[in-house]
Amino acid sequence: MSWLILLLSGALEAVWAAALHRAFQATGRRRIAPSLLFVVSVAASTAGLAIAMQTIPTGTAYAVWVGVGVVLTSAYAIATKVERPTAARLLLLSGIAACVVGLKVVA
Amino acid sequence: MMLKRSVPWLVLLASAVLEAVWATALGLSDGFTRPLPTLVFIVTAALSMLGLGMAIRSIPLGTAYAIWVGIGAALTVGWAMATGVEPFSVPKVLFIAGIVACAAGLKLLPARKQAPAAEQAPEPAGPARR
Repeated sequence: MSWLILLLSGALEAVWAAALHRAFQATGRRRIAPSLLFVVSVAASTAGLAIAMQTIPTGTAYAVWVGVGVVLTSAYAIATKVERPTAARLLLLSGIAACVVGLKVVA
Repeated sequence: MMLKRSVPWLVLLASAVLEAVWATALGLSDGFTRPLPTLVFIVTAALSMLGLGMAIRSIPLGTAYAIWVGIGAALTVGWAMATGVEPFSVPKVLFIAGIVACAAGLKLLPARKQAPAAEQAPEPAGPARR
């Protein structure tokens, strides 16, 4: 159950990043919906991480949460053509994800 | 020109530093029971996300998010090691160096806007030959 919550919280990371992106690209009233989505998903994501951390060790929980967030955010950016998936970019993105995971696992 | 292109990256870096500040304040707040760390957490978290939002107007979303998270995590752990909260260890330093290197590499990649439509340029229009 904790793991399911943790994975969902990680996915919400990507949701708020995407909503933030929309909120800053839109103007006027079209900013309202993405801004609300951002606030709700960022709160739910942080709360989910806190709940998962009660049973999963902190370092492991954070690593999984961030890893899922980075992968899904990049996938969203590539799928919506915001970002071009060049080999170098994919390599560097996975490098950051791997280092953050490693950092939290040894910590 | 060079300076103008660097501004969003500076905003992104500042947001990542603020992320490390709020992560540390969150730890010190003892579940929001201490007023000062709680206040620091609220203010820096808000500023950090505002900065990320401004940065992703010109830096690709996936790249900006990864750098924000990566630099934030590296500084949080680095700060914990520097203040003696966490013991110093070589693997940690190597991972931090890896994050910084990957972030710098992403900065060096050509931005999408710098290659405007060069790849999607329509085929030179001309009389059909077939």
